[in-house]
Amino acid sequence: MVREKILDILSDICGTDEIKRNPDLELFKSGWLDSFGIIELFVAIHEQLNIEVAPTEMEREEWETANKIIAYLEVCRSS
Amino acid sequence: MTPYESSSFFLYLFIPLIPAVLLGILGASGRVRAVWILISTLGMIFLIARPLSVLYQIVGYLVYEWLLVRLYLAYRTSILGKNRANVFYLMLALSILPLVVVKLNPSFIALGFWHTVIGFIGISYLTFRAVGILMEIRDGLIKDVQLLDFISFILFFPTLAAGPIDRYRRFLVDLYKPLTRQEYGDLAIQGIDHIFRGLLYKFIVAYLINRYWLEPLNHTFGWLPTLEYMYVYSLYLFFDFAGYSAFAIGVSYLLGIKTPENFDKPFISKNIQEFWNRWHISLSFWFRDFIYMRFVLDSAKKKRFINRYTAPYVGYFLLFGIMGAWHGLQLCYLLYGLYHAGLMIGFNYLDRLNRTWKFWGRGPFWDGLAIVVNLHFIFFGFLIFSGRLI
Repeated sequence: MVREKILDILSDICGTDEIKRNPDLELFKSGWLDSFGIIELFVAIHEQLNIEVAPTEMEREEWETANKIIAYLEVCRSS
Repeated sequence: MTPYESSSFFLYLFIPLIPAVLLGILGASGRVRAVWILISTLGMIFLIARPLSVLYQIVGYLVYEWLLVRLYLAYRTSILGKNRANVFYLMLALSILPLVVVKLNPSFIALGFWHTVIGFIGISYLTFRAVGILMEIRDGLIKDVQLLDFISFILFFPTLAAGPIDRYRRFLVDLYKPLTRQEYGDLAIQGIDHIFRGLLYKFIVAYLINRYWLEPLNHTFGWLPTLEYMYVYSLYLFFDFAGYSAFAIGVSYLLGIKTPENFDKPFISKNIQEFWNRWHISLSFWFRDFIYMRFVLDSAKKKRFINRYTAPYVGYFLLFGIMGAWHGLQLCYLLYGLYHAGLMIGFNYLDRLNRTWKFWGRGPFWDGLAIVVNLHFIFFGFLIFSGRLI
């Protein structure tokens, strides 16, 4: 559930289905996600998953790929 | 004594560093190295904080910020579980109050209210570290702060004078991290590399630029000398500050702390956004994470603006306006901040237009052109910053 939502959100923000095909794509290095995009991601996580993520909670390297974001949020959810 | 300015400072540096290197090579535990960092930080403060009145101010500042942190922690971790915005803003205001007083004091002296000069080296940088802690307490990311860790972090002597600005949680991980002899050795070699780069940048390149190029230009006026001054001052600023930062990072590494980088070839940036990812990185990332992102995120959640670009644009003015005022309340610094806010918004707008209209393309020619054009916008910013125009 978190997985589908995040993949949808990311595809929407980055305007590409590439992320669904390859969830290990490096989002920041490849330029798909910039500071503008990451804010949209935070807002979407807040609105659609009801999880609060603080701007400094994660280092960008720790949130580099869709898979890493999903893994982190699933832990948030269950705890 | 100002860190990394005189040869005697470098001689004194051996006192904390020789035991630190020995502990590292012997594979001492994180806890033992942390104790040494605390002791050497306290020792070096006595050396740096001269005259004694400065030392009193530092101690007073530290105690004050510590009380604020403990007070806010008590509030946030109490069983009532409150997290009111007003309380948070009050704590922030109290936390930056000493810096505001120090910045306003010259104006009070000029107005003839009193004659006491206050302030100490690094207070602007220490304020970032303290405020960062308060912000992460609000977010629930920091749940406890120990006094000794707080002292090591806030006063960490390699970065006391002018950064780089570290983050509390990141610093703490390094402080207690067990390092094998091999890991420490790699870190120490990188540290020594940094120190040599610092020597080259600050004491050779920046020194020569200043002595033989910038100094003479201080006494010549007119359009052409000012243009030349713009280039020379920008180069000087880079080599001097990147040199200082390399020293600060190198010494941190020798103590086992991976202080974040501050410069990454800023003059090859292709646009202003990239420039701020490469210039004074620890400062611009601090502003990005703690001011810009917080503001834009909060605006989005509260639906503060109808247009989706309004929040980022207001955010840029907030970010660079505060950055300018932080440098000093003189007009040149405030204008410098507004100028960069304008550049960021201008670039953002053009970049979006370019997606449909394709003003500029890709490839080496366009990249080269972008670097040259961007460089001139940046250098003009430094000319404003230098105060030569106003």
